[in-house]
Amino acid sequence: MGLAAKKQQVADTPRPPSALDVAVTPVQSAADRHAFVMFQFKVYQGDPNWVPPLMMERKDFLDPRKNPWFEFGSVELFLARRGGEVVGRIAAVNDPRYNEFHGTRLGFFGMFECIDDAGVAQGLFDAAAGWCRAQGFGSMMGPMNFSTNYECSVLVEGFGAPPVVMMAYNPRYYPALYETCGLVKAKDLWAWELSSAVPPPEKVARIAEKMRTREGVVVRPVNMKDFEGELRRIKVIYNAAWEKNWGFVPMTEHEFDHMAREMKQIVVPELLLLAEVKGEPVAFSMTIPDANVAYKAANGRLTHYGLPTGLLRMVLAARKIRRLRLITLGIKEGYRKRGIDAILYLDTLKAAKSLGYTGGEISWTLEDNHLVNRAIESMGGRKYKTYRIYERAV
Amino acid sequence: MSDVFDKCSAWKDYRIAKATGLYPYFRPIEASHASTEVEIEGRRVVMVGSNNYLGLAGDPRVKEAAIAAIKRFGTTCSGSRLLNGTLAMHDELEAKLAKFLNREAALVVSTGFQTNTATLSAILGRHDIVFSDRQNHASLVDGVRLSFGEEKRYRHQDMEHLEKLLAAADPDAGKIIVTDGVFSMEGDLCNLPKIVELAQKYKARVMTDDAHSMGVLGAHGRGTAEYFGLEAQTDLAMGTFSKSFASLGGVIAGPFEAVNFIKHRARSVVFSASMTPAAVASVLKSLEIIESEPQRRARLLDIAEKMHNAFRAMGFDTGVSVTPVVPVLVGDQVKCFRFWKALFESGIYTNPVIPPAVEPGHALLRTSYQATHTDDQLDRVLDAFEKIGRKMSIIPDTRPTTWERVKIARPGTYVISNTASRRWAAASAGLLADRGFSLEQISKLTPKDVAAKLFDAVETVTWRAANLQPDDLKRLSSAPMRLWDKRSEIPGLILEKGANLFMKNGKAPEA
Repeated sequence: MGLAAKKQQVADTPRPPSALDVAVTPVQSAADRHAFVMFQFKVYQGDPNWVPPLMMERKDFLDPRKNPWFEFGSVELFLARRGGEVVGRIAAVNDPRYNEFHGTRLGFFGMFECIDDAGVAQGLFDAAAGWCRAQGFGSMMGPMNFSTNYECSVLVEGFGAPPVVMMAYNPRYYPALYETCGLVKAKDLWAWELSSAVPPPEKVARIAEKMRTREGVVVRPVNMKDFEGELRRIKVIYNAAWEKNWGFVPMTEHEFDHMAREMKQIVVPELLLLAEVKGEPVAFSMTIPDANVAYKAANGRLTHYGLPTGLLRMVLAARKIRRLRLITLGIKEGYRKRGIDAILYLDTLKAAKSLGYTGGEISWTLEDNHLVNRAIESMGGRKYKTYRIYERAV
Repeated sequence: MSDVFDKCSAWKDYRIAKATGLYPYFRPIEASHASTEVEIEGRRVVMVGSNNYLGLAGDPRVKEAAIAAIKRFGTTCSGSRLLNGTLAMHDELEAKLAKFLNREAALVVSTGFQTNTATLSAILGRHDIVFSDRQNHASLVDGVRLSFGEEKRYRHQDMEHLEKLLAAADPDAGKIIVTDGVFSMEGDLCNLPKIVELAQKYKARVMTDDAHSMGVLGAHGRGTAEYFGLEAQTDLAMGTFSKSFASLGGVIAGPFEAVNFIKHRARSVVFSASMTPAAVASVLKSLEIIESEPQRRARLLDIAEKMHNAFRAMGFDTGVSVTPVVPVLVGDQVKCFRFWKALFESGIYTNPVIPPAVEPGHALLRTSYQATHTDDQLDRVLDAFEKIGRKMSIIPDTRPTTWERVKIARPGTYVISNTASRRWAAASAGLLADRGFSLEQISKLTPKDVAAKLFDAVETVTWRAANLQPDDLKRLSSAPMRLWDKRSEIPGLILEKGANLFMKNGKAPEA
């Protein structure tokens, strides 16, 4: 069955009515905003794999004065309440840069959290859809918080392990909840596991070395002393390398700087690699320690009862991080299929091993980005998590 | 036993305002200089709070005409139009206004307010339904209350809501949609094209209150309907003389039968003394000038555009207005009074508008301009706004790098309103209101709540400290300097917070 036919079928099947005793209202006051952020802590209570975000970080993320994304985008947050108690939340997102870039009329939804109740979920999706309709959008896609440059998608397979840094995590019942409410799959995203203990296949290593000498590829870690300059070079590659990717939207200068500033606190320079051909930067890969270990230790706050215990625990836990996430690897158009990706993977692995990291995750890749997926597989990567992005008509 | 005067002695808003020296109303004007500058309490101030849009109130020709009328007919008509109060001038004015407005007939009434109560109370019968915008002027609201008709109020500018109400109404009932042409406090226009479309679809009549647009909008100054090119589709046009017409009174114009009915059946016409000779003569002369001097309208709209853009460039929010009504959003009502007072002291007279005229949290200074304002006077206004606005932190210390230019309702542009900023939209929906604590809320807090708030504050400070950037440090180090610069504001701020707390606690708890 084709996607169009599937969508039609989904549209024809009756959806659960939104629950009548649930009121879905836009977030208006500071108290609402606080409730919006704190609702997460209720949904995941007792889940050993969940990594609580820092409450203040989430608040700043939603603050138009703090988050540079709001320079162009706009968001309406909704809370679902039953008898005064919060039972769900969702954000309706308008990213005009995405629509301009792709020539679409697409709204997003994100920040979705909900109790296991299809009526509540339906109410939330309808509220977001209504907002998107009012903006003149034909359909909405998500979850996106608030674009693919940040956390996005729903975990549908691989609930056994905690998420790595900046990856989504959710209760097991979410995919079913989405599908009951008439959302259909738009795209799957994959996460790969790779151990640094297992050496890469001999053949791959040999080819990579050959390419390195033939193409004159020089791989070097970024120079933290010239952070600004390196940032500029990376930005050019980032925005050029992803241009044709599904769901991609280039970051603005401010977004990029903001992200870099946050990353600067956790990056290990040896794992930030730039590949140059004849002095021209053509590719970069960024691997960061899995800071989620530290976040988990903090349990949502830097201070408890006014004492900086969270901060202390975070600092202590940060020293014990042994896992990594290869978060981006981008090659400029025209330099692909020359084995530069393999060279970067190998050098990253080598550096990781010498720094004492046991392994980590490569994420995420698009399910239909065969070139990248095959390359990771050939390195010994194992697909262990599937994330999904859904869509529905509004 | 209760006394009807109980509420008067319990009402303390006035006393608070008076005690704090912030009471801005009923200020007696002692002298007027060509109506663009006036003297109040011995201080000469630029008047940007009057509705004398075309500057005719101080025009020597108009004054001359009024004096001549007094010499001929005396100071009053001493009675109602119906009996002894109609002068030949009244009939002449009605004929000229009907011709000016392209209508079959026109009726002049002693005040603009009465014109609306007269019209609505007379034409709305027991089975009629009136659809009115929620921000309509009080006179329209009262007109409906005096009538026997049923009222359906639609959300301001919400045409979907209007259509819903029209569709749900009894199809056999008589219907009329009543709206301000220009909304007097926010300066946006009604969506007349859509209103007319809906009126035709649901067989309803349309009445516009052109108090702030007659003489101002349209190529000939006939108001909102002319501006949109929809005069034939608008059944009743109402205007007032106290604004562009430099006088006092109002006019309702439309089909002869309707106007004649109002003339004989409206109690506000039949039982009220007619317009004085001087008032009628001023309108006649003003009408002549309005028709012969279109450059006044052009100048007025130029001034409006200049002021809107200049305010926006400073970082003020002038909201949705597309007209010479230039509202400046302040938000808090006590701050609004303080801003008003500081401006007054530096020689600028504006109008503070606070709830219930606007939604809570939407207090604004309403400025409006006259075609006769000089550039020098306008620059003085702008300078004072910028200087005081910065001092009171209503605008940032540096001008914003980007801001949206205003759209002005010039003839042929067909704009309805400017896009409201997020803050404006939230304020006009009454969502900025509840900030800070009332004593009642504080008294309800348990020690646990207080501790949680305290710990949250510690968390916030820790988070901010952990995320300090070089820029933040620079800002932080200059904080004492900035505080010192604004030291004169501190007593005012304390006053503001105190007055807010006090007023909140004066109110009955909401159900």
